[in-house]
Amino acid sequence: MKNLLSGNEAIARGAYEAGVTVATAYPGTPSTEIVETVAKYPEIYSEWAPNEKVALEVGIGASIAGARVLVAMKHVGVNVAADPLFTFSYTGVNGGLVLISAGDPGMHSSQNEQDNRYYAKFAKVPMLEPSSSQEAKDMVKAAYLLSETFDTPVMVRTTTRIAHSQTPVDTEKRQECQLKEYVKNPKKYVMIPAYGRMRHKVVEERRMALEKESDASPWNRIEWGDKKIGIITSGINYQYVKEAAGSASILKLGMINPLPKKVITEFVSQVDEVYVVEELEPFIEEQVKSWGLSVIGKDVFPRTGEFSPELIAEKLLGQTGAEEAAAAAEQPIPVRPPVLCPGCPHRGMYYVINKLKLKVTGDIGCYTLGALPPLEAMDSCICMGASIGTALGMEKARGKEFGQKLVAIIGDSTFMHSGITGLLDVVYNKGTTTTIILDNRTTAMTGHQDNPGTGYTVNKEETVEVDLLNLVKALGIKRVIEVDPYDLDKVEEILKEETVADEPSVIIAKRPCALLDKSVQPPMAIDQDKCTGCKRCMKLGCPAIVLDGEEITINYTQCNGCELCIQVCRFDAIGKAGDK
Amino acid sequence: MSTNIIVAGVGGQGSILASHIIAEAAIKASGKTNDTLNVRVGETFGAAMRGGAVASHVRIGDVYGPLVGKGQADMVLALEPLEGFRIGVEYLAKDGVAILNTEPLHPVDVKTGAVDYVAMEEVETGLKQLGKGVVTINATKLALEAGNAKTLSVVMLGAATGSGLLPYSEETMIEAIKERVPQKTIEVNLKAFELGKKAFLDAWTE
Repeated sequence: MKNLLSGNEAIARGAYEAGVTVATAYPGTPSTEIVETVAKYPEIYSEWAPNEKVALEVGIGASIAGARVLVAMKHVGVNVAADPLFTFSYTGVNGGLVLISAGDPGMHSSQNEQDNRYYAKFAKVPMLEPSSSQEAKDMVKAAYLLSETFDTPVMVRTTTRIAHSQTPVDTEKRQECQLKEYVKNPKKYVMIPAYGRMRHKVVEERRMALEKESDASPWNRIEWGDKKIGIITSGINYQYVKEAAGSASILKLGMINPLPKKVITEFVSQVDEVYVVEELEPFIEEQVKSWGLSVIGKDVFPRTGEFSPELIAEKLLGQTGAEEAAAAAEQPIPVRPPVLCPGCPHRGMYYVINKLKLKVTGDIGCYTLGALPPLEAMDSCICMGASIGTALGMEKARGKEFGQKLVAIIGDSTFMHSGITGLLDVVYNKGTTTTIILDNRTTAMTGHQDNPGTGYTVNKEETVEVDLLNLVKALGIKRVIEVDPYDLDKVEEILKEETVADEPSVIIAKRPCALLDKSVQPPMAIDQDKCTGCKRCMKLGCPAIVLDGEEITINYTQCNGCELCIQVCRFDAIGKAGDK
Repeated sequence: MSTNIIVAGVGGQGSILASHIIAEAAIKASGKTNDTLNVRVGETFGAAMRGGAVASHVRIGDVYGPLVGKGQADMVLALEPLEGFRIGVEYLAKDGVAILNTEPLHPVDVKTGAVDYVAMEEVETGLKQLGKGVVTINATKLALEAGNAKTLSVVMLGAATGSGLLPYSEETMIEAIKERVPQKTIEVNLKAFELGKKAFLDAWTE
């Protein structure tokens, strides 16, 4: 019987079957489930690294040491890991290394929709792109052979629709893979300029060999159909094309770097009109055009967002879908964005920040939701770890007075990912910025993964727990204060003091994620006789507090008893449900 | 031939679990008959956390992509009425059926009074114009009646099975449920399943 696996689960299975013994990652949607799944195989050492750069570096070490290695990250994670990646392309591998890059066209859970296919071309490493979970598993296995045959890391690119869609997969047995012999070889692995120059030549030879390989690759195949229209496509778009225009001739690309020039040239010559169907950038289109071939791509297809069978049918065949449907809704349907959970420890911090009218440089995590109404307490959010450097930059550009009305907000996992160096800069270059570390003891946004601060590994083995307080002190911060973010008065007092201080300070807001804190508190209720309807409690943006006609009520099942609303009510109208 | 189902709900309600069970039952069914019954599950949810809108697409049969096309859902199974409406107006096929839990969960804009929740009558009339039928059941209440609020998704699976629109037998569905729910909760889940099925059959008038 086939197994129904997501693309991520299939990648994990492929690594397992290929005899991988080391797997590293930093969590990031839509890649997180890869190493979560791999970690369940006892044959494989798995870890959450503090960030993607370290994840790849651990992978590189394991590869040089002779193991087959899986490294996984989301598309923007490859930016963080790009430094080791580009030089690892020069050194090549010992044991095969496969780097998964999980893209997010449509930005379901990302800050941009960059097209990581360019990374493969830029770093001169081969890239495979699966169209289903079965292909994801099979390609990962093939990628290890490619990696070891051509002495190169291999990238496998997915997008959200591959990573998070489930399709049937045939599983096979694991093939145990002996460690490759370890031989000291500085000319291959020590990239000083003299050796790097030699390796660059090797890389160029490898690039040409890979071009031939791509033309011979079984992953690049033509499905002949009607020769009036030819379609070049890959990844999830292959499925969309099959659905929208299955009778056309299709060149399905699985190895997308380097592109199979001969195969593409042959295909283009056999059909009347050729379309390139690719989401985001014209990666395939521009290369094919540079060979003097005529194809249609971004003239008709968008560069932004995801495609769908309907979009492809419309652009290719001029078919328009059922538009009358939308008419059934007479009024706009209220949207339902994700919100900070009831009892979320981040909520109180944002409430006080709003009260004090502070500017906020934000970061990546659940707390980015503080940017949305009704809190709207964020001025910038760029990438993992950016909050602290951005705050320092603002202070340096506009002066100390501006800096005293400004805080950087960052989560514990994000701080360890790439916030530490930003804080070091604040100390070193004499900033006075206040940094708030929201320490909820987990990597919550991606689904509660452990990190160096939680005291547990990916396998839930106990390990050393980072001492945030002393870490911050060791960086040179003298003013470090811990506070319970449920205590609004205390938070306000500390924020007032620290923002105006003439030296940098760090506030560590300590309180576990409300979804992990299993201690059940009694829910709150509102005494309607005392409630004046001032709606001050509603400024908390708590999902449990509901305006029901004229009355404000607290949803008994949603409330987790954090008591923030008791603290903000000026009429003593809120209390524990039994008492009020 | 294909069957296209969308399970709609709010993060944390169990709609993704429900869709996985529907899909796994299809895989089981194909294992029994040796038909190569193709299955695809696609999920549309934003940030991987609670409280946002979730729609999980299940496609069974002659299919390629993971997502159901606009106006092509044979069944919209909604664990929350507003989410059923949101998905239904876009995806419900002319001969499709919408099965809705009537218990609302208000999104933040409704809670703050910025906008009104859509009236249940409007949801029903709107979807009736688009599809073949709309069935409403108070699945939240039935889950509590079964003995555990968390069986909401299985109540809905009972209703879906009662509709006869799934391309496999009730036994196969029950087998898939037993495998996926926590082993200690099998009994309460089977009760939830029966309550859901019965509620559908009682409510169904074409």
